[in-house]
Amino acid sequence: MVRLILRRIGQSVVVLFLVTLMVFLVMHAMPGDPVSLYLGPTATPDQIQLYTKEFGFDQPVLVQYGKWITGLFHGNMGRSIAFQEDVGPLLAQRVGVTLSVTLPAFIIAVILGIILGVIAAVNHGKAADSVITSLANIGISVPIFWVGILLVYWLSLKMHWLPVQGYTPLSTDFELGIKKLIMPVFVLALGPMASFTRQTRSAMLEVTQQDYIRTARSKGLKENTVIRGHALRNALIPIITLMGMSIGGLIGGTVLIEQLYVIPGVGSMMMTAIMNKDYMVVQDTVFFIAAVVAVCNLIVDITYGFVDPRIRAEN
Amino acid sequence: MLNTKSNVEAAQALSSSNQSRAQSARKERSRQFRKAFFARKPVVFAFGIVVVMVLLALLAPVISPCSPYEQDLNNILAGPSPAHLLGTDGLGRDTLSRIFYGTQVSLSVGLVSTAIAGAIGIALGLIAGYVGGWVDSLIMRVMDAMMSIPLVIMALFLGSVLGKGLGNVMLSIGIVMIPGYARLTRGQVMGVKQLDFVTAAKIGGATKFTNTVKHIFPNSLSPNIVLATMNFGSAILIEASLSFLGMGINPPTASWGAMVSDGYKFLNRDPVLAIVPGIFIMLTVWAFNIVGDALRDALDPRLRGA
Repeated sequence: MVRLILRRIGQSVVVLFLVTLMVFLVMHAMPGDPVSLYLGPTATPDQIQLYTKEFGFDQPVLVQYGKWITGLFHGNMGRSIAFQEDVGPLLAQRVGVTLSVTLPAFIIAVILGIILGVIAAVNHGKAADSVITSLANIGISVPIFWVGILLVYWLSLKMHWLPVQGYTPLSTDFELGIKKLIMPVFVLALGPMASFTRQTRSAMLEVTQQDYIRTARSKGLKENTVIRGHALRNALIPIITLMGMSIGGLIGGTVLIEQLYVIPGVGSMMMTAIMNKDYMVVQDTVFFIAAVVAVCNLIVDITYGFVDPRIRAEN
Repeated sequence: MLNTKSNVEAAQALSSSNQSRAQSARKERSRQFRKAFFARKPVVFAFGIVVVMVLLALLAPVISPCSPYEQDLNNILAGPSPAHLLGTDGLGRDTLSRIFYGTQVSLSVGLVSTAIAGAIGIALGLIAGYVGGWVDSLIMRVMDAMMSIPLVIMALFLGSVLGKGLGNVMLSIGIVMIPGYARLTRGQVMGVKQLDFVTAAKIGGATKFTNTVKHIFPNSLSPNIVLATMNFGSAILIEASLSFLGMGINPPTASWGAMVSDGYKFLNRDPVLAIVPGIFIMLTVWAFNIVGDALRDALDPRLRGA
């Protein structure tokens, strides 16, 4: 088990190293230099020179890369041209905001997705199955920003139940904070919830055809025990994999949701940076997001080893 | 003499009967495929939507009531009327015509980006799977690195470097989707290359290249076709998302995502502007997903009915 974990950590480190290389090379393959792009056509040569020197863009590419990487190791992510601040603290401020939307969305998606998937599988071929499966298929096809807009129209503009947009920290005003979070969290949860439903349903259908389920039923266990104790436990394995994979989609979704509902999180920071051509921030946020995804997948793979004795044995 | 003639006739008869038998077997296979493909009702509906969307894209210039760019400044944000069936947008352009033209953008993004991703991804997967060793490790680790960045983020990142516009959006979505094909193809190659017919071809003198192209590639094709169909929908969704964020297709070209975003500004006054293009995105993506599911089930008999 220790060897499995160590090997898996090693793989993640290699992948993250490649991510830094890829992000850095792509940024530097871009035509034009970041300073004149940021300052625009009105910039004087003196200004460009000053900024180029200050941000180290005059150094050889390899040196710049080395500086970035060593900085990352020391928790120093470089400086934002647009904000004139270090990227690290900027990012830290916004992680909490993004987390307050993504975490509840993830939990809701997992719980409801699994419940709906089980209901569909248990009622295989019946009306409940058709309704849930159809809704799940729509859920993975629907553009979330559009659902968000529909909800704004209905719940905010027509019914006046919820505020249209914005973010209020729960510590400042709990009620208003929650009200502002309801739509973003629900919209963000929609896609992953649909995926979890589909995955749970098909995993459950596969598992319930296995011999050990027949054995469990034939020895007279209650259907509830068979489903919860025997079928779902085995069906959970592919669902856990999906949990890791859905983190990426969830973070991708936050960019859209944060733009739509004007939430000052990591996604909106990345969008602002892209619009301002603030490339240090773009580079850092992309790396940060990749790191979060890598760590989540690492956790999933290790959990996998604990949950499934077969995987432990293989390694 | 007579004998030879009858021999030739017999041989001809035999070969034609073989041909007709092969033909009828092929017919039977395609009949079975069609039956498995259209087994569920939603698939028929989804397939119908795909056909309609393709027709809309092809016929947009003919069936659109107006030009998608023509501004009717006396009729800004007008409601439905005989002249403008779905009304007009904030610049007085006909919404229905823009939706029809938007089909062209969505489908062409789906087609081109899937083709880019498929061509490069399958090639990389074949190389990784067949060559093996450090080449395999290098390709697959780079694919892992690409996959660790969420699709939308990666497409935004590439888009921010490449710039906006139809071609660049197609390219960035295409690049983002490469790892899926590479992984899938590599897995297929690993499975197929152990099989007897590949070994037989090797013994028969086939080089690594011919073996890969002639024997392994065709056998890894069907799962890739399924993936391509599903990616078609995802590509449309990513394009819509990028255009919604203002990082996709350049205005004034009609893109459904950008139309939703523009319509959002007038949500209270004219909700149709944001709602209708969204319905088109959803229907198209849904149709391609369902067709992809049905293709997978029809091509893999083990999954039928699951």
